[in-house]
Amino acid sequence: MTKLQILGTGCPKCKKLAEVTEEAARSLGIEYEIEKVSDIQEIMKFGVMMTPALAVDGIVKVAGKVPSTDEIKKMIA
Amino acid sequence: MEKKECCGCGDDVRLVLACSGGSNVGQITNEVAKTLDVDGQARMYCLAGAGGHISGMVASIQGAKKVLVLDGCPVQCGKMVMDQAGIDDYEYLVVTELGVEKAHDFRLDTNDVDRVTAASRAKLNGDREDKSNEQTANSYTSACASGERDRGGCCCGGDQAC
Repeated sequence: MTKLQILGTGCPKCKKLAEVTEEAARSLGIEYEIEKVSDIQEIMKFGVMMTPALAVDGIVKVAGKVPSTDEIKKMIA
Repeated sequence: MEKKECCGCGDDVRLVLACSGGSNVGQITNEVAKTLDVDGQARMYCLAGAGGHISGMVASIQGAKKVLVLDGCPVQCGKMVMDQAGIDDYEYLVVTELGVEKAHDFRLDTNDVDRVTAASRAKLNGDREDKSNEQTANSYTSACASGERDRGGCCCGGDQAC
């Protein structure tokens, strides 16, 4: 089970990142769970300066932008 | 309460990373980084975090529009950290190359600090194109609460309602 965490306070870009991430995970056919982390203090524990950010199994893969579906597939796979 | 339309903003996050080493020149980098942050020209960020391979910090550095690394001396600890983190797209400045002699003396010469600050500003404002981000960041920290968009904050006012 791959754990996908979307770090962000709920802005449009955060929602977009969640959508694209789900799309990528679904197309890969992997087992996953997705969590939206919106609490600032929790986000800060990841050390990110910018949101939105994506963490895969606890490792932040990207911060401050919304990658393409293909890019996210590579981060998840 | 009307939600503010935002977070398509914060599109100019610039970071400054200082070696902050144990010498006059190392501490000059620290002073300069703080000044650039206070002046709103870049946000001071943790070089040690990149050195510790903190994934969120490395990703944030990679996602910034522009990054300036300040090293005090030719040992280039800051550059080494960036190399080991696999980051090569950044502006770079070494204090000793500006004529400041390295010493274990923390009574910093304000003229030296001012000179390095000016050189750092020039690096940040240089002609070199910013790193391209198709979609960029929304910085969520104090800059949001104070509405300092030039420091990477967004217009949410820190209320997280955006």
